[in-house]
Amino acid sequence: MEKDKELELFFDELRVKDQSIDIPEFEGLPKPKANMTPLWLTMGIAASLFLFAPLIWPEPVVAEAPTEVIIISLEETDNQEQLFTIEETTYMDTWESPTSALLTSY
Amino acid sequence: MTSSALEHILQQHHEDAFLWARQCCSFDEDQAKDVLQLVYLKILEGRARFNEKSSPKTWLFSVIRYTAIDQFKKGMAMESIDDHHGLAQVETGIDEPRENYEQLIKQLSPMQGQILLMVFYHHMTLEDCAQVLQVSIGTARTHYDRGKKRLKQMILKTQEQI
Repeated sequence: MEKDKELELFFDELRVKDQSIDIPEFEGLPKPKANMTPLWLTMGIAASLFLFAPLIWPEPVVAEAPTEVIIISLEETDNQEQLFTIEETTYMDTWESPTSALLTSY
Repeated sequence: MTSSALEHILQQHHEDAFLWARQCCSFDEDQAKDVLQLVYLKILEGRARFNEKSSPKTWLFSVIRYTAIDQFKKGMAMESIDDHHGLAQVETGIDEPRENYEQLIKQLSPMQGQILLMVFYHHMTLEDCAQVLQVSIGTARTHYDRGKKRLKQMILKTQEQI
């Protein structure tokens, strides 16, 4: 690249002149703004949430098992009369239908 | 590139960056400080990223130049390089003798002034100048040749008048 002596001299002089310019010091990249929320405010919000949490988020309702189980079965008497029998119990581990044998023994 | 490596590069080129920012702001130091601060903020926020396609200095100079132009467009009491050059020509005229180097540069077109400053003052290549100005190397060379010729004429004219 062709340079001109006169121009080089011109810019050299300009550079010398610019040495008197007050260049600000490099202070690093600007830091991101710090979190300015006061500690007391943070603590207050945390305490309020703790106290009023049950109001804001009520406990979920757990579905409970029914306290009673009613078993209604239809039975045939010796006189070939059909008879409903109703049984009540608090729990039922296993219950077998009186006519379940019909499903398997045929 | 890590934040500390980037900070090291910026520190290394800080002086040149400030002088270039000043030159992009019509040699106004206060405006140059504002522009440079905005440039560093852009880099911190990742709005200006060094992709290592060019030299760090070329990249930084390009960011500074466009930030200076943006600031002018936003109307932040910053005279544009273009307008200032135009204004200087109208107000002073080329025939008026000038001892002030900056005034002579202001009489050039913005592109010519910036290319001559980058080449002669900041010792950059024409390829670097083309990247900073985002023009082709041919365009950069044309501005460079015309700028050289015109500035030389002005220097000679000034010397004759002295």
